[in-house]
Amino acid sequence: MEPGDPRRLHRLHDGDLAADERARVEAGLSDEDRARLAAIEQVGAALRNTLEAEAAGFDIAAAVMARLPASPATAGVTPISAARSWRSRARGVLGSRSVWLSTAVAAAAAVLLFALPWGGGVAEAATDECEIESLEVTGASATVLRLPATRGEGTSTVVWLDEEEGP
Amino acid sequence: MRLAVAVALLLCAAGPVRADEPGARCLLRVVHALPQEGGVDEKLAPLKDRLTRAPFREWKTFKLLSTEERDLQPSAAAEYPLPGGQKASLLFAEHATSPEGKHLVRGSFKLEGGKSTSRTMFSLDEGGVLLVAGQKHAGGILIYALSCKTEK
Repeated sequence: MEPGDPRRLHRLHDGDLAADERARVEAGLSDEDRARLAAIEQVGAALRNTLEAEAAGFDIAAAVMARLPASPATAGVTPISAARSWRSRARGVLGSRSVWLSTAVAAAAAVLLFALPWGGGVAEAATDECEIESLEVTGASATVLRLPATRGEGTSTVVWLDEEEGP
Repeated sequence: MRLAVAVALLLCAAGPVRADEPGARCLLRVVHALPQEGGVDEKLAPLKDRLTRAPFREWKTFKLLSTEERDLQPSAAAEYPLPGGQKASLLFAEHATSPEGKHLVRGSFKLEGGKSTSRTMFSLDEGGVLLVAGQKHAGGILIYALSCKTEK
């Protein structure tokens, strides 16, 4: 396993590797890689369960109505309490808004969210905070990486697009 | 019918933008990452720490392809030209302020015209960076780095 190669881990997890390559990759898995695989499986299962539950009783009109109180125009500047509430709803892999949009594009997109300690250090800690409320993707699978900064000063957020093979 | 009513209500709720609502200045950097050794373009110094850690470790050269800055009012969108005829569009939805004076920008970032299309809805701290990466381009990948400052 080449270091920093999450795509191969995803392909291994998804069963997309040929038998010989799978054997080779599995033989080269580090403890960190195994931990990543376990996290991918856990989050994937949680996301699948939630999407199935949402799809069973999905009501798009109700979903749109539910968005009205948070509409940008209802309050030009959102109090931080509201913003944090919004953030907490969006935080993590099971935020209702994420699921709503993900459900809407489920046929065309593969969306996987997870947070993992990728290890390694940075010379200077990143201090930005960015929350992903929702993600719609076609023609690629997407992974949201929340990378913990060193020195406990915040995180970095990366939306990683893994484009499908072919023309 | 319910959907039509809901959409109509949503559009009505959007309403006119108040003059006192602060706008935002959003900067989009487009970076070409390549696996060959070459280092980080000095113009990318503000991003160097982010580009030299996971998940970018397998990329050794980072070139700045373009830098575009746009001023946006709430609920307004702007387009950013991209390599290969692709297009990025940014919608600045709203601005939020914390009691400590920390500013947040909410919006969506859309990439289209290439092999894949994506739309990311985000809430970004002022001074923070949203990175969208992985689209294949000329033997490497593209990395989009978006950051915003509010006008307050």
